[in-house]
Amino acid sequence: MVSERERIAHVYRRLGVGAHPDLIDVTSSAGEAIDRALDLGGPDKATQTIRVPQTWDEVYEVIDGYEPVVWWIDAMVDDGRLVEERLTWFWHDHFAVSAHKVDHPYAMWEHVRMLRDHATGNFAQLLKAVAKSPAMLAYLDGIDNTAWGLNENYAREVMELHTLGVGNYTQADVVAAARAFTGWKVNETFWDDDGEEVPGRFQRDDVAPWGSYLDADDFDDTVKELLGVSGNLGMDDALDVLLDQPRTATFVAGKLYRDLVGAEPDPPVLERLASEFRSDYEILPLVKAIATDPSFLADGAIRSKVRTPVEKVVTLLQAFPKVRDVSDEDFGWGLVGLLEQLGYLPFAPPNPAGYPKGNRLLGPGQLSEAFALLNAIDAPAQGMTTDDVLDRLGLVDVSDRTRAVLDQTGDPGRKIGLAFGSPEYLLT
Amino acid sequence: MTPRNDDRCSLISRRQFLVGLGATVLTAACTSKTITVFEQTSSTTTGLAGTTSTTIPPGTFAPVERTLVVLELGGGNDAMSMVVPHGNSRYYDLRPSVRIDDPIDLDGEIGLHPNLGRLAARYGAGQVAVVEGVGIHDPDLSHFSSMRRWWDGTDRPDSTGWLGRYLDGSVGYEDLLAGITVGPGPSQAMLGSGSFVVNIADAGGLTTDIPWWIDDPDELFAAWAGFAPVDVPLSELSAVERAIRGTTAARQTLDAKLSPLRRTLEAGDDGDGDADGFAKDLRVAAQLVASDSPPKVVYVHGYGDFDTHENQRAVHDRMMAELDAGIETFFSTLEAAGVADRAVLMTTSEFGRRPEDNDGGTDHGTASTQLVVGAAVNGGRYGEPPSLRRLDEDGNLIHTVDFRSTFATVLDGWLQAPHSEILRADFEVLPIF
Repeated sequence: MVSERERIAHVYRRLGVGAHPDLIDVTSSAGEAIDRALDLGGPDKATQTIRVPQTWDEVYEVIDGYEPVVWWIDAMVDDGRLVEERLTWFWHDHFAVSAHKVDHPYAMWEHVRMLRDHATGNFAQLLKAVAKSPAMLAYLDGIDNTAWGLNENYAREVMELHTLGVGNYTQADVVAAARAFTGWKVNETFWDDDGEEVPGRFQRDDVAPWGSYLDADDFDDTVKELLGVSGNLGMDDALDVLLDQPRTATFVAGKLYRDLVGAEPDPPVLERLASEFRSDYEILPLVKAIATDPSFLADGAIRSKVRTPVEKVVTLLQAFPKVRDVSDEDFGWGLVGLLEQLGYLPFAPPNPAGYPKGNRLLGPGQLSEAFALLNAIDAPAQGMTTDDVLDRLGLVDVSDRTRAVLDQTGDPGRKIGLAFGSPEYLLT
Repeated sequence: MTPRNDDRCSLISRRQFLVGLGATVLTAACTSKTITVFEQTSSTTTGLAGTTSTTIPPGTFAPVERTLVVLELGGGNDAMSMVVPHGNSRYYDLRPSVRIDDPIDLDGEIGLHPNLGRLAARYGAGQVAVVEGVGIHDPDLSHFSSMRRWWDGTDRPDSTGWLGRYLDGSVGYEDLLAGITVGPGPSQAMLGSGSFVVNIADAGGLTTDIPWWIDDPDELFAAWAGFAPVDVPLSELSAVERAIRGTTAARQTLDAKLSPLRRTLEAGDDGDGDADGFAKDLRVAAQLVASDSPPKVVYVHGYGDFDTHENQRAVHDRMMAELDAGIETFFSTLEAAGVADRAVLMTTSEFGRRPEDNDGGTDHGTASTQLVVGAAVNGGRYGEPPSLRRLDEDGNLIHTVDFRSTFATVLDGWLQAPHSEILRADFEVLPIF
């Protein structure tokens, strides 16, 4: 029997990134939790700390250090605009780009800021913004895709990973889309060993630093045929063709359903969600439709997913807020190191298909190393009981065995360590 | 100086002011520290059942009591300085500043770097296969994309690595310690979609850096095992409880495998002084191979020093000495334990370096030479040495052997797993086994 409080925690875990215990305390029903999680009335986080650099020096200042990762984690820990956090991370996974390849941190920052801007908005606009995102152009080799030398990398991934799903297009479609995507560049600039600026390959004075632009000379200005549509397609035209495919709405709605509900959608449910989504590609109504489908709060949805390292550390910081300065360097570098070790560093998904999920997170290495995330919080107050610890971590309905294991020790730190490793906490 | 767009990795890693998100991550990319786990594309499945329809089911390949050790020479090894074409006069024209004047001759045509003396002895004993001309087609000279192809064993980026797919199809999730990486994080090459990879940094095994206020990690893990008590049958445990039990067991097993080595190291009686680099990690690998129920694959990585754009002789000479010490440590450890026939070691590197030097160093190249070492190996030369005169448009070697041929060779010949399903195509199998 799942308690209402567990369902409330479930809503915050799935529509947000963690399960803020103070929010659980003030929420009286799962329905109210859904409303609160979907509420975008709080202050806009995107404008609080990100500023557009005016000089090349500032390009680096903006991103110099661990601050982006800490800022993002802090935003997830915050109790406002929960669904925006969930979806920003979801799109970062869906439209994965990585600092491993995009060798300009500011572009990574801007990419994620763009994802945040569109996170709860319109998928068609998001898709088109991602296609022109300097980070994506660099990550999937769009900047090397010209009429004189096609690079199919982005064209293939946009169909396989972002819209249609594998098997719903042909190699001829990949070539046609790649041709439509030709000519896009990024105004790159690099520095040499002495710190002197050297021009990037595609430097343009009339384009913002690290901005993208279409170079008409490199565009394939001819007719292409993509998925049965013929014309002199450009980037947005080709993306419109993909958006017109019914399969795209099914693919994206299904993926979002699986992320939020933690189960395969029943075909009629998916059909309904996809057809509504396809009518205008508005994201928030889709989330609302999923969250209000009975399956979202069903017993089978509770703790049906493996909790990711980011979800673990965010929940931990919500439970036991770390007292620190904004510029706490040890905390910042420590957090970066921990998440990197676990393969879950924000801005650095391991490959174009995003972060690992599911069983892959339950290997001996992953489970052992995850305990190191406990370094993100301070030593707990003395006198905390098993109930206190479970409560703070948003663990409501726990097994007798879990309670017994925690009760074996009177030490609050040990209790937190064990609760962190409990079967209930390993799932979400 | 102009930006070298084919060389972003080293450009970035030298840019020390770019610390932070950049430095940690980007330097990591160069030293192959990156890449972790991954879920198959089609499996947007996020539930507990993470296996996908494209996962090769466990049991597809019969288990073998053998280990493949892959030693990744990150950064792009200058194969021409490892296996020197000293019989080719063109070599001396191309390499005025970094040539090797005194290689250990093997057959009048090629010779090994003078710091590879013990490897040369093993070559003489017929234990070393030298595969020449190995490369990828349409190379773009990028560390990142070249490494990806070597890791994935596919032409285009894949969600899994070639060794991960082998682990999927052989042991799946059943053998928790079948795939072990030694180095800074698991390698993409080892990531399957239905198997685990365990990463260790050193002989410490699966250590966990828990905070001081939890106190003793052993006690924590002992209490943690209580979530999956030993008196409860496996069939009554949930998936996540099974994972807890498996992890507890794996920690103990791994600890038992590595503790003899740890004791040796702690006693300061390791015979090799304070071995570092390859020798340090390959000694860990040897310890794992020599243990009961050895892993199927050990992947040793984390050395990016091969990116020798400058000061090549000093750096590369040192790396060759380390390589020699590493391979010797590995096999002599196995020989001392009487299990030298258990393992084969293969080197990889994302590319070779440009034939014409740049006055002190060499830039990114293409075809390279791989070594396959072990008692089971038919020693000798394989592949086809690339022409030093007929180069590609960038002045690089034209490869003669697809990189997946060596993968196919160790899969078919050593691990006895038909390669075409793992590599998703058929490649020439070299008669090394």
